[in-house]
Amino acid sequence: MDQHTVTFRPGGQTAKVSDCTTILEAATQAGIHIPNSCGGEGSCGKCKVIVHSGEVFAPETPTLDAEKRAAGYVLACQAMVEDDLIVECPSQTDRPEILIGRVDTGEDSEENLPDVPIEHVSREIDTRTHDIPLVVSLNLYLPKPSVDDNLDDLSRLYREIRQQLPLHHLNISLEMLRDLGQRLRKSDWRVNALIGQCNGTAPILSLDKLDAGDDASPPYYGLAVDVGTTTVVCHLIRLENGESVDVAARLNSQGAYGDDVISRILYTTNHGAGLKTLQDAIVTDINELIQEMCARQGIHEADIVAASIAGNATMTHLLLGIDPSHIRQEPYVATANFMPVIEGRDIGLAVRPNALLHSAPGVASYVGGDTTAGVLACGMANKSELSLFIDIGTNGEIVLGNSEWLICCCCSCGPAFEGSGVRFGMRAAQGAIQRAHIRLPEIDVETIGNVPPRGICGTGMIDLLAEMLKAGVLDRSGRFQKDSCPSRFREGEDGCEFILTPATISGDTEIVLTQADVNTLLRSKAAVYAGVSVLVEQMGIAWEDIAQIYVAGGFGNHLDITKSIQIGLLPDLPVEKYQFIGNSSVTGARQLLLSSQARRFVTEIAKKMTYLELSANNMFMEHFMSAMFLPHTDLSRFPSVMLI
Amino acid sequence: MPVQRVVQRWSGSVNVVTVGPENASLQLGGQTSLPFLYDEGELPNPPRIAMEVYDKVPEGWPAPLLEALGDVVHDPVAWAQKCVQQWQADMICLRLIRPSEEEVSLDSVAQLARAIQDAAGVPLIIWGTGEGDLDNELLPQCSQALRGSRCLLGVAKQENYKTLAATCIADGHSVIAESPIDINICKQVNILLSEMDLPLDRILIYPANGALGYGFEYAYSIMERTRLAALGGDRMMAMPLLAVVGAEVYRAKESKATEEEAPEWGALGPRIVAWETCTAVGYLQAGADVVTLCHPEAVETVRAFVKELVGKQ
Repeated sequence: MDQHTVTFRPGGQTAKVSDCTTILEAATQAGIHIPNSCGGEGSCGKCKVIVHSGEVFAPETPTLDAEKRAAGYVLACQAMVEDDLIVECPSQTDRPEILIGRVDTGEDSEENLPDVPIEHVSREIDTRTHDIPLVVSLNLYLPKPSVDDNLDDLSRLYREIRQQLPLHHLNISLEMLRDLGQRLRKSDWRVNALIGQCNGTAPILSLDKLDAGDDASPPYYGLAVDVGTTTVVCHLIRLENGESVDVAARLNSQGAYGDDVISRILYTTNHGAGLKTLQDAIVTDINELIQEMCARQGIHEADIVAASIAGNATMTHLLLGIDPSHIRQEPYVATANFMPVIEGRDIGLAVRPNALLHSAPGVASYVGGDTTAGVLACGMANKSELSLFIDIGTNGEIVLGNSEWLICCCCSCGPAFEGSGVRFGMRAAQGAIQRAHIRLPEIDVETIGNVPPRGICGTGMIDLLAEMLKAGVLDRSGRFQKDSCPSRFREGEDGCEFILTPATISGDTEIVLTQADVNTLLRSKAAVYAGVSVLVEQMGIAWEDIAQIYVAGGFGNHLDITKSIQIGLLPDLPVEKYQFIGNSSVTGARQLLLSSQARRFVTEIAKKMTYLELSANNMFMEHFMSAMFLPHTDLSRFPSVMLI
Repeated sequence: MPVQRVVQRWSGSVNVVTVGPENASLQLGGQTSLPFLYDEGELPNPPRIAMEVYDKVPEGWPAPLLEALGDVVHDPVAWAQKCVQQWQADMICLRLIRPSEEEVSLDSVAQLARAIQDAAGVPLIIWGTGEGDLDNELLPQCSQALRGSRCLLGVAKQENYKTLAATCIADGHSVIAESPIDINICKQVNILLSEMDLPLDRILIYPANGALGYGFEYAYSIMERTRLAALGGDRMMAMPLLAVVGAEVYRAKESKATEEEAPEWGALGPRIVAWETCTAVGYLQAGADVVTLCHPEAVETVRAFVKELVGKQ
């Protein structure tokens, strides 16, 4: 088959591909992310590129008009390479690289674990409470065998371990057993053992000689990973004291194959090696985060001996390489909600090959480990009073309940608050606008790290919506009011644009918010509010009965609750009842890494939680449509928001 | 066994909108019960019939309609006068199409509206071309020319309402608020208008209804839900309702196909009268306070229908 070279502008990256490869596939091979939210179906029209030279086979598509086609535009997911090509990616030109950039973890780190009461983890691992991490490191000083104490080597090892920790079902591999006698004697009976907690057994993962006089345990690390549909966040944690020593985050590069879980599942079913492609993408993402942190901390990958993963059902299936297709098909059943503990090498993670990997359990196809981890983290499941948990991500998960019962639902919010799908959206990283103050014609913005703005993060978008509404830039239906400040408006490719910060001579980026962006945000906030309303009203609960509301989401450092209420994202309840807990999924994952009690408790949470299917609920659409207004069509739901 | 009568009492009421010049004003709305249920509440103002008058004869109008209206169709002022004097229209609905099709001075359109108001002497509805930018220039001119006549000007939509609302506030007119057969957007437009300080009793709801056979049931249920919300006490839904009948009926193929083309449908003449009548009567049952009609015979039948039901109080 003929090989062709595809060169991409403006970056100049190239890919060598054979006939009938799509430009999108070539771009992915060249390491370029072309936005695309339909999973290569040719329906979203976001992957427009311009072919400057060379032949392609490009079927006609309704998402490109004649004018665009004449100008050389094709859809990257549909156009087949038939020749050497030079392709321009407009998305690379007008979308800053920050969208797939990483978090700078300078002094002003934005991914610190939020200050959440941690219910299950004592910072010093207290072995007396038998609350131990997924992998525990023990220094063992075995008495030498003698005529009086002539226990065999393995039993001697187990006896010593059990004196320190009451571990059941200790287990050792044959390979290690063959070497055990030599190893204990060569170490002069002083060894460090790594012992895991794996599917009901406690396997010994390693035995290393302890040098005489060295009582300090070697430093071992674990990972707490939030595998989000849009964002992946990874904490590096010292296992002996639970300290989070580093954090790294990036966009999930599966995004090149679809914005949401459905289009990713479709990708696995419609492409021969689709599942492998998506698994490789997420494993590579996590590995790069690991390598980044290891390099920064000067540690070896092999020192990472445990990992705890929290992700929704689809993300967990894809990471483990399990076919997710049944999640999408009626009656929407996943392969497994409770995943077994596996070894790092099973999926090619850049950690010690036999490091253990625990996945937070799911409840239903659309309520996964990220939710159970979040419920664990906020502690609502061991309080008698009624709490509401709202996790705002690509999927919004909402949980209502207390220590006796839990009910949850899930609604699709889209990736807007996580920085995708909005022209200048970005993750909560350096340079993201997180607050705004509008007093027309002046607009003051505050960025993370107080550096020149590069984009807008989720909390910034919430802030902006509220400010623009207040300043009359938007009316209550979310439409731009050009007469409010004509100089800040202009017509752009996607319709009307509002200029937040102008380009400056010093090279600052111009940042705009388009009408399409506002509409996207309106849909996202309406989905969250509708999900909450249906759940609360379905249970026949009065809003006032809710004692505490935990708002989670990795979209910024500070969430202004008052402004969230003003735009109708959150229900109009007293601000004191709210607590913003940040990325609760990764907080929960950390607890699961460090605490066997947490691992038991999360299983209980997952089993106890009832799932309310919104697609089978005719009220959701009604609520959603009413919520497509600022704050809401039914103003009586928002008495604190001053109106009329 | 005696059967106890169940009577539904409502907490809310429909706003009263006053239209027309001082000497010829009408009130719309004011109900405290569902349509024609005189035992359950007050229905102070009967539904009104507005006759549609155009600044230019619409293309494709059926011959029997043109015949029924006569030569006046080429003179909007005479047309409006005849509607009132001969066919006893309660109101006139002037629908503007000429400005979007040919070069006309906006001032001449405003003068035409003024002349119609003066000749007809009943409350006037002025319906814009439907082109947002054009209407934003045209309707303020008409509004100024008719200052003090308390007309109904339309239409305001979610994406274009500010100019119309501002001009109506300034000149004392009321606004027809359109929503695309959508109960949420209906309310949202009303909120947007009221946030511009347009009083709630100067808004009419137009749910973008179709003719019989063109989403009739859908519009019917939306109107019914709107009215139930009003009676339930929702102030933002308590506006009188307006249903367009003539303009919608004459877009339907049933009002165009001749008897030769569709013999199973019968003669075109009676068919168009029946189509207008049935559409209007249906929407009156749903709660319409104003229906706009074209055909004089349909006007007569619908008036008789209203009189019959109103007479039963």
